[in-house]
Parts: sequence; structure tokens; C-alpha cells
Amino acid sequence: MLTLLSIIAATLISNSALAGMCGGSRNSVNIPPLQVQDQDGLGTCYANQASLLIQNALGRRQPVSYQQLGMAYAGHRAQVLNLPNSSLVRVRDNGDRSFVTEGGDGCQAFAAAREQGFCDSRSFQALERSGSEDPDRVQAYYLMLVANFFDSQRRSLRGVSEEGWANLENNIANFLVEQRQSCELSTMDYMAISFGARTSEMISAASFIEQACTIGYPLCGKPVSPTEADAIRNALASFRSRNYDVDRTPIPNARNVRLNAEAVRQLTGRSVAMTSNNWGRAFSDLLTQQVEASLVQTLPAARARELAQSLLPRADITYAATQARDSRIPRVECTDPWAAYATLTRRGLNLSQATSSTATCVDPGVLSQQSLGEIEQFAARVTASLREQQSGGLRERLRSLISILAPRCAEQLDTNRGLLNQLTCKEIRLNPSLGEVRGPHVQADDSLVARGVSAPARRQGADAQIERALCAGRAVGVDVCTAFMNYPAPVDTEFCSRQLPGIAGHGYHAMTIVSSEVLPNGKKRYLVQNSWGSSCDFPLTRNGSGLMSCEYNGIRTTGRFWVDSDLMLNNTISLNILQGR
Amino acid sequence: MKTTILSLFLLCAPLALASEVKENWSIGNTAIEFVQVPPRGFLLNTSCYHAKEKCQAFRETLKREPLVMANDGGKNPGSAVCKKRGGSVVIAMSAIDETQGFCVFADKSMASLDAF
Repeated sequence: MLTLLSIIAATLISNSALAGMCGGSRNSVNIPPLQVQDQDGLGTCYANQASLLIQNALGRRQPVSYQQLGMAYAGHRAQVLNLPNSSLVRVRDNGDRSFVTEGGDGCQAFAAAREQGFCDSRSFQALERSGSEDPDRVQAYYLMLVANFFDSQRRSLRGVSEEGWANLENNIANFLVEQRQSCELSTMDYMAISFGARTSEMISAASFIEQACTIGYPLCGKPVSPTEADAIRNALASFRSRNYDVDRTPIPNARNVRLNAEAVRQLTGRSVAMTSNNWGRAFSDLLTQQVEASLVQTLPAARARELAQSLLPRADITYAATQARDSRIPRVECTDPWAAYATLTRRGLNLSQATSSTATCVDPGVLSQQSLGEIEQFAARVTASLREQQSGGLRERLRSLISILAPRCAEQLDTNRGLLNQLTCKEIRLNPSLGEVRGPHVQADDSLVARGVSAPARRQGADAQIERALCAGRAVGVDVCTAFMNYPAPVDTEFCSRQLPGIAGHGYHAMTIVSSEVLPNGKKRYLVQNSWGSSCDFPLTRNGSGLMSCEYNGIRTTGRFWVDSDLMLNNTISLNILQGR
Repeated sequence: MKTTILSLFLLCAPLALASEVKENWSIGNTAIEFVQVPPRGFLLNTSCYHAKEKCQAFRETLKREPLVMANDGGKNPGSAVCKKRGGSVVIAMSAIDETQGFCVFADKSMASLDAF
């Protein structure tokens, strides 16, 4: 019976196709060209899709920034799911980092744009414009920097409140001065400057401590008196004469002692769990990191106390020195941008880095002046923005992020937001097992996944929706499992969840249907725009021929490919269509 | 005989040149000329295209890999392959603001990400 229905449905599809498209005798329908985008290693396909849908629906010539849409989506989703304190970064089970902008839903990205506005990509110079090297790395760097900065500041200032926020800018300024010095100076000079006594011409000990206690480190207490300042100068001179230096040699031994102790403590009664080698290794790595991190934190602190005690027996100055220690940049971080980032945020340090580090930043060029300058500018903007968003959740923080990364974009948000007010996004699900929380401005259509709808009928219904949209001049977002892109036979069914031979390594992906055509044999095909630059043929099966074609009327398309309609719809999770206006 | 060969060369040379489809992409403020490599149509910077095997990007494009998606968000698989082979990705733009990722190798040769 089901087979019979399928045949009837398939016949209906063919007859419908042969009858002509858009209610006439046309055999194809196209919408005006949309911008070809290359998302590189960024997981923003859904935002690329939303970008094209918005560009199409508004008839804009200017491309819409998918970077900004991705970040708007993150905040919007956090709001819809009621996750006001979501982090910008999450760590996967395998230890990889991912960001809130990686993976998402096109309709929700639209909804985010409708609530928060959107920007022209020309205003997003840093990330998706010409000349961005390794944009995914740049994005990762900035997002991690911002996320951890927000987090660390919130933690450190939790009990300080207004006073802390008010002094934040100076805190950062001091922090950055130390960053720069750490890469420019020898260890002794750096240490001396860090504690305010390199030369009297550059900075006096008294002014540093005064700064630390009154401006940079608001928890420290009151300013020092002139008498105390003199005492500090003398103490620092004494300290300097002792040829103080950073010596990390105790770290390996201390690590082993601590590791053994921690292992005994944490593994008591858990030996059964250790039967899994993988788990044991993971635990061991984790434990090592914990211990290493605590050591890296502890040992410099001890030195900071030593220094402080050599200065004055004042508890608040001890605290200041401890905080100064926190701002110090370990040298190994100058050899790798990621490590530099880790130091900037004081996270992710491990002993392998610490023990392999030298006491000096041997090559200032590694962490270039340009990078430092960018970080300084960046942090200055963070500071300014933070002051305005002291109590905001993730959404507000992301808004701040936009203003930091792309000031011109921020100026466009409100203007462009108004353009979307008359639009809603219709999300048509084709796979019942994959749900998504739908927030405002998204119209859910689950009719094609209702009980009793056969696969052919589902494809027919979806095709009708696509044709209707294209005939109305609207592009159609399509969320798929990429398996069909190089699997030799129609994949069908459970999409990416099925482990078919040769199908490994596929995932969910969002693209956009921009044209449809009925071939002379009655088969229908779609022209799908991807976001992988100009690519339109893919590494197909190892021995297969093309399932898709870049050619159209003898002309090679750019960034788009033709695909059989049934093949695509068999592997489609949902469709996204902008309606209205 | 020499005249015939020369005539053939002069006749064919413009045809050979005409068969090269070139595109210009900008990276920052620098415009770079690329050649579409038939039959797949990916792009190599012109000097690399002519240098053939002497050029790293050209050699790398001879090794093609099956499509492998990485995590969420449909990252361009060519980006991952580029980095795996020691290159770095740079985003270039056309005159109409279209974007295209290129893999830049140590010898500064470049191939579009779809080459992999």
C-alpha cells in the first residue's frame, strides 16, 4: 500500500513538474545572483545561509555580514533557551574548543537579526573581509580573548561591584603595559619595571605602588604616604641588588610530588574506573593539567609575597604584589599566539609550557608589536564597552562584542533591524528526530513530519514549498547532511546518524537553493549555493563520477552546484524561507 | 619548413593564451591574478600555474582528498586540508565583494580551497 502511494506521489511530482513551473509553462526559475561567500574554517554555514536569505528578501546589493549574524545568533539562542550566562566558548569532550557561533539554525539567525539588527560585511573588516589570514583562527583568538576576559573580570570583580568596574580601565592599562614590557625587556628589567624600580626616570617605586593600591588594584587599600614611598624605594633598591630572578627549576619536582599525592587522593576507591586505558589517560592528563596550573599559580605567588615582604610589612601591599604577579606574562607564551592568548587570559597554562619556558622573552618579534598594538586597542574597546554593559547577560555582551570588533557595524544595527520587521522565517522540518527550539519571528511548519507522511509525499511537499518560494523570488535555505555530496547512491533516511560504509566524516550543513529546473526527462534539479567560495564540484567517491554539476548551459557556475531534487530532499533536515514584505 | 612551424606557432600561441581563463582577486590592497585550472576550474596564482611542479601549490593540488566535514557549522573542508598540508588560509575578495579562500604555501604560491 505504501509503495503504491509512493508511486502515485512520485507520479504526481513528475506531472506537476512537467506541467510547468510558477503556474505557467516555464521549465526553470531563478532568483537574482547572491554573493558568493567563503566561510573558511568558521562554523557559520547557518549564518551564511541567513545572510543570503536576508540579502535576497531585501533585494540588497550589499552583502550581509555572516560573522555578525553568527554572533547575534549566539546571543539570541541563549535568550530563547534562557541561558543568560552562557559562555562564548565551550570545550568539547575531546578537548577541542568551539564557539557559540559554530553551528546553528538559519531561521534563528534571521530572528536574531530581526531583534538585534545586522551589518554590511564591509563594516566587519577584522574577520570576513579581504586579507584576513586564517579567519577561523582570528575569530577563535578574538572570541576566546573576549570570552575569557569577560569571565575573568566578572569573577575577579564579583565582590567589588561599582568600585571595581570604575577602575577596570586602569587595571587593563597596567596589564597591557606589563604585557608589552615582558616581551621587550630582559627578565631583570622586566621584573624591575613590574615592581616599579627600573630607573628613577622611568617609574618610581612609590608611584607604582601608589598606582597599584589606588587605581590598578582597588582592593589594596589606601595610597601610601611620602614616608612609605621612600621606604619602598629603598626596599626595591635592596631587592634589585639581590639579583632576583625567575627560577623555575623547582617546578618538575614539585609537580611529581603533587601529582602522586593528588592521584592517591582522587583515585581512592576508583580503581575500577581505571580499567579503561583511555579514561585513565584522560584522567591523568586532566590531573596533570590541574596540578601544573596550580603550581604555575602558586610558585610565582610565593615570589610575589617574598618581594612584597621585602618591601614593607603591609598586608595590602602583599596583596598588590600578588596581583602584580597575576599580570606577569610567562615567557613561553611569546613563542606561540595561542599560548600568548592563554597567558593574556591566564588560562590553559600547563607545566609543559611552564617548564620549557626560559626566563626571558627571547624574541620580541614572535609576539609582534603589531599584535600587541591590536590587543591594546582591542582591550581598550573592551573596557569602554564593559563600562556600559556591567550587568548584561550574554546577549548584551555579544552586542558589546560587535561594537568592539566592528564599530561601524554597531552603527548599522538599529537601522537595519527595522528593515526586517515585516519578515518572518518559516522553518519546514523534514526530519522529525531533529528538533530545535524556535523563538520569536520563526514560524514552525511540521506538517511534513506528521504521522503518516511518506517519504515521497514529504519530498513532494517540500518541493512544492521550494517552488512556491522561488516563484515568489525568494531563496530557500536548506539544511542537509552532506553525505549526499559524495556518496555514490541516494542516502535517504536517518541522514548523518547512519554509519554507512564510506559515509563517515559527514555532518550537518546549511546552504541555499537559488534556482530550480525541470530537465527534458522530467527530472527536477536545484541550483544550490554553498558558502565554500567558488567550489562547486566536490571530491566525489573515490571511483565515482559527478553526482552534481557546476555546468549550466555550458557555463561553469561559481559557488553553486546542480543537484537532483530527490537526492537533495532525501538528505534534507529542514527548509528555511523568509516570508512577508 | 621553419616558416611553417613559425606560422603554426604564431597561429596557435594566441589560442593557447586565450584558453587560459584568468581571474583577479584582492588580498588586502593587493590584486593577484589567478588562472582557472581545467577541467575542475580551481584557481592557481598565475606564476604557479606556469611553474607547474616547481610550485608547491601546484603539487599539492595533485593530491585530492575525499570530502570530510569537521564538527558543526559546515566549515569549508578545503580549509582543514590546507592547514593539514602546512598552508594557511587567506580570504580574498572580488570586485563585487565575493569572498574566496586561498591556501598560501611556504613558497607564497596559492591555490583556491576547492583545489583540495
